[in-house]
Amino acid sequence: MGAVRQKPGVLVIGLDGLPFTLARQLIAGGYAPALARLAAEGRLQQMDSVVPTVSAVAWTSFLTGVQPGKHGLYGFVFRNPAGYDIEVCSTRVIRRKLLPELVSDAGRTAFSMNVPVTSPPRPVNGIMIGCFLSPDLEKAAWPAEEAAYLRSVGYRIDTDAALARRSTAGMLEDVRRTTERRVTAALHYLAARPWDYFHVHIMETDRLNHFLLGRALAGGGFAADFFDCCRYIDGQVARLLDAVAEDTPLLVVSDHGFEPIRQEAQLGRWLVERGWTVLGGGPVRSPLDFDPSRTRAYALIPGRIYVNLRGREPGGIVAPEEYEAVREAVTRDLLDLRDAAAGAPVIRRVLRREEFLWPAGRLGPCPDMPLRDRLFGDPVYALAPDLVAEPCPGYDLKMGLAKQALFEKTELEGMHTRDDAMLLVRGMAAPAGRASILDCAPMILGRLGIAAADMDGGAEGAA
Amino acid sequence: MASALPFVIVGHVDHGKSTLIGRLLYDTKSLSKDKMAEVEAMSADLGRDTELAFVLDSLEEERSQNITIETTQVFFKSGGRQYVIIDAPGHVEFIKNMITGASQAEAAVVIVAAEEGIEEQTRRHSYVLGLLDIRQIAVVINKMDKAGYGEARFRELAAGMEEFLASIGRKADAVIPISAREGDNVARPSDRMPWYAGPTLLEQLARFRTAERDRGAGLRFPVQDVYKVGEKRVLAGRVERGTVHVGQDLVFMPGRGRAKVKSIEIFLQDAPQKAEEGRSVGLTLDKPLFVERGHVAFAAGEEHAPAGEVRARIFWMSREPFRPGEPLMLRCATQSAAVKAVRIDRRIHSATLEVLQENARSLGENEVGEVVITTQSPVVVEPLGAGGELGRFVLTRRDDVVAGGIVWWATKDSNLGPAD
Amino acid sequence: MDRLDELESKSIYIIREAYAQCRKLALLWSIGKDSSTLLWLARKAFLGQLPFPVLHIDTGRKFRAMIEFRDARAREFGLRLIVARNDEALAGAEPGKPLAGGGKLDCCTALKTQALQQAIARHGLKALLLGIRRDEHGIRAKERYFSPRDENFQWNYKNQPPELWDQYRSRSEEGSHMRIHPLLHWSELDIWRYVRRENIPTVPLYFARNGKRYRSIGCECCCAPIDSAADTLDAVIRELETTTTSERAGRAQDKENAYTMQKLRALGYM
Repeated sequence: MGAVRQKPGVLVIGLDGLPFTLARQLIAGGYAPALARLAAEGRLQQMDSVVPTVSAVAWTSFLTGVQPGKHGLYGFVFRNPAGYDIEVCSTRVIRRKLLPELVSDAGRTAFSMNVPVTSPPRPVNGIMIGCFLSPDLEKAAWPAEEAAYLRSVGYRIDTDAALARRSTAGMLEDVRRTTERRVTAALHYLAARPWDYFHVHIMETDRLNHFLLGRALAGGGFAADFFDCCRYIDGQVARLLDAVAEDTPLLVVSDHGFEPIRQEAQLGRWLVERGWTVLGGGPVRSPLDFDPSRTRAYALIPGRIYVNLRGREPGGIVAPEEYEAVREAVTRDLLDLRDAAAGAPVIRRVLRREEFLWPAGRLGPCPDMPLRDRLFGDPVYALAPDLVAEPCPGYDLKMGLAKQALFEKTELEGMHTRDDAMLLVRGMAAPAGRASILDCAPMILGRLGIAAADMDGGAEGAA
Repeated sequence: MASALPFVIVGHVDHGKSTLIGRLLYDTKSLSKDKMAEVEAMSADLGRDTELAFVLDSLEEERSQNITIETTQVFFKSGGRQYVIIDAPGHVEFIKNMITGASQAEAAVVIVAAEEGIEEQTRRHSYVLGLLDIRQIAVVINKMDKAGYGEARFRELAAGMEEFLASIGRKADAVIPISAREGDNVARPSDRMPWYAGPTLLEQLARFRTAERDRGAGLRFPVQDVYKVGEKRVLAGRVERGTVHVGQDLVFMPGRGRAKVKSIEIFLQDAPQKAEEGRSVGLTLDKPLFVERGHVAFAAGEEHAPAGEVRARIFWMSREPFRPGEPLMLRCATQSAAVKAVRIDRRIHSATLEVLQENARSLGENEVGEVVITTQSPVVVEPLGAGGELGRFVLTRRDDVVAGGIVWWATKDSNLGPAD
Repeated sequence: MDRLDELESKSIYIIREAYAQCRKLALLWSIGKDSSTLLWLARKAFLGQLPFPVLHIDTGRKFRAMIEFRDARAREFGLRLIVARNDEALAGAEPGKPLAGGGKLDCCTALKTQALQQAIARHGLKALLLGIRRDEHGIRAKERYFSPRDENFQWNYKNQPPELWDQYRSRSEEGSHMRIHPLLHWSELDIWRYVRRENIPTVPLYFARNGKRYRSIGCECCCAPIDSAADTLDAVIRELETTTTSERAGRAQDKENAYTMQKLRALGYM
């Protein structure tokens, strides 16, 4: 006897870090029958992510519909503006409303589970279960009472990353169990009441790629495990699809692609070697534990460079008049970085902040602002990196202030790519040309008949 | 949300108090980003390197003279708790402002610069701490960087401060070697003074407690005003001590009028049954009684006789010395009484604690007097140790506050008998 | 009593002292959040019926939302509202802009200060209650609860009478007035928390619309909004709690941060 099918206004399933090219491979290889079905009914296309390309930033751009320069979240970590302490990102730094809030404001119901960055959760006309950055269930749920239900079904906020480094078999089991419980909880909520916007995020694909991609592509024992796990996750997606009406408008989307890591490149260490960052002597306790009185530029992951600017950084020493010159000199040094052993350059290009916060073309040229305003104006802008380095394929940019060597290989096997995210749309008008993750929010709101104000994506000329 | 701990920093102006405050704010990240930018811009104008102390000197002439004049209240947060620094300047000229600043504090930090040592201002201010009944005291020996971080000098000054404090009946909870400029032992433990194993200043501040309210204590309700609200006659005031209940028997001093509390009036609250210490409320009584501003309500049976003579210690703050016979008012809580006479038993130098004169005829600026004050009408006061507003008073001359006083003992007024 | 109760009680005490010592009192209401809080506290102090008038300085350039709000509250609270305007200066002025022929300071002097002087003279006021806080501005940090202004509204900060314990001095020379600041010990965050707790009506301009909100409101031509998504009271409070960049509060939060840092480290994000 078939179960009742729900009819959410829009269903969104996030598959973190699933590359478009890999999705096609999985479909072709028969490892993703649910995705295959959807691709046939709708449209599967490649999609561009944002700069810097990391989940926290990309999903926040997905949820807000704007470039990082407008929402204020530039990475998983940031420098507390009052000093040189490093802090983990949260909804507190996001200066815009998130999709579920916009939906709520329009008087409609919204459900969001595990989407980065939604911790701490914000109040919505519905339920928000925060993302993997939540320290515990009580802090993850809005309303907080939902924590009790989640606990009762053994919901897991996240897989254990430390385990993943130690044991591949352990990780695989962890991925399966966590995904299964997450979808079970999601189904419970799906049936609980009618939803206009229903969004479940599966993080586990990202973990798989981070820790197993290299071996998967190389073939051999673990390759089979990798693809089996993908098949398992596709099965979980199928559970969600089977619970909704067949014509439900939906999106299956990822935030970036993946490629194998050749080396981890420590930009923090490089800046020290080139004299931009000066250490204080004594043990390095954090990525920002340098001597600000002698540091002119410092790095944050991934590939973000900040000038230690007087009037912005509390211990800043670079005068605003020297800002451009410092940027130029650091850019030259970044492009100089080479993997001597492989005889290869590491940095493909270095973007200045105004280039990627307002890239020309799609979103118009950079507004011509006086330097003072660009640097010191809005706090959102003030936390933006001054430069972002984009790596050559295979070089994962890290910080490594305390590292002794520039290059390192760890248990991580996969790194992010910007131009290979995946967008699968059914029942909605998909972007005609090249898609960007910024197009998603206007598309969803458009489908729900809610006006999208002041967003960076969407079809040219569309409302 | 818990209340903040207000504390005062006292000591000689050149011993680095402003720098210490700036350092505290900076190290607890309580300076907003734009304040920091503002500070640096201001310093650049004056051609000086950023000095954290500049944060607090917002008045133009202070900045160019490098003196703090007024009292400032500055907030910061550390370890989940809020603090309020009441900065008190050290210049002799502005001592009366200092006393005002100190009066709201529940703890004090006494600052002594290592090279300069314990100066007159240091002692005078410490004396005032005693006068104001501040018992939580931390002493910081500052500018240790200039003194080569040497232990010997620190021990010498620590001993000197402890001795002085003991002579005024006080004791330091901690004596800490610091450098506000370099940051040693303020928020971060110093690694340049391995011979010191005690707390940092922030750690010591964390140990200080905010004043606790004693709900079981006897009721003290000084009447601030009487309002007519609709048909009701409401006595407005703050419960200075204890708790007041509906139905409670009250006695109003000094008149000894008795009545029961008919209702407690709190706007937008329906018929509250009690009001605890610290609350500003209104009371109505079950029978008409002549009550006016200045009267103090006690729980019946707990009242004590009004005083005709008050034995006290006063700190004279006016440039014009006290002249016997001049018209002064004594103001305590909401009471106001004309002063009939002041007998100065001893006149004391507030810094050296030297007894300048016995049976003095006058008291000069910054001098302390052990006095007996006789008032024209009876006043309701208590020794300060009993706690509360009834143990402190001011003397005013034409509405200017000229002295602050602490009640030592109150003598019964033999001319009064029971009112009814 | 929690922190807000203490702040409230002290302010009510000061307001009552002001009235006890000076019956010719008025409350200066700028319709902003601070003076609206002051108004609320005054209502509490006098149990709902203010025995003195409320004074609004209308520069003719205030946001319309403020004027509407003002009139609605005056009716609701039964206030005796005096609106003061420098009609002379406004006569030749271009609407919606600062006065021509001078800087912003001159415009403020003409439209605000002079209007206030005229109102004080006309109504024989001897003292004013204002909603100024210490944490607003450097100079404010030096203000006292009871602060005398002379004829030219000058404030001689060097010769301030000491305020000892709760003895507030309020009598002043003929021809000048006393200013009383019952909110000195409140921070911006305290005000918002109190507004939330008491449900004090506030002008909606403080809450974000289209990504912008006003942190302070006054004349429309001189007020600039800030970027913010905080469109409700809770959101504004949350934003203030985190953007004042003060030290992370509490060991519990430090532990959480350490936990999340560990996780990010393991994921290679650190």
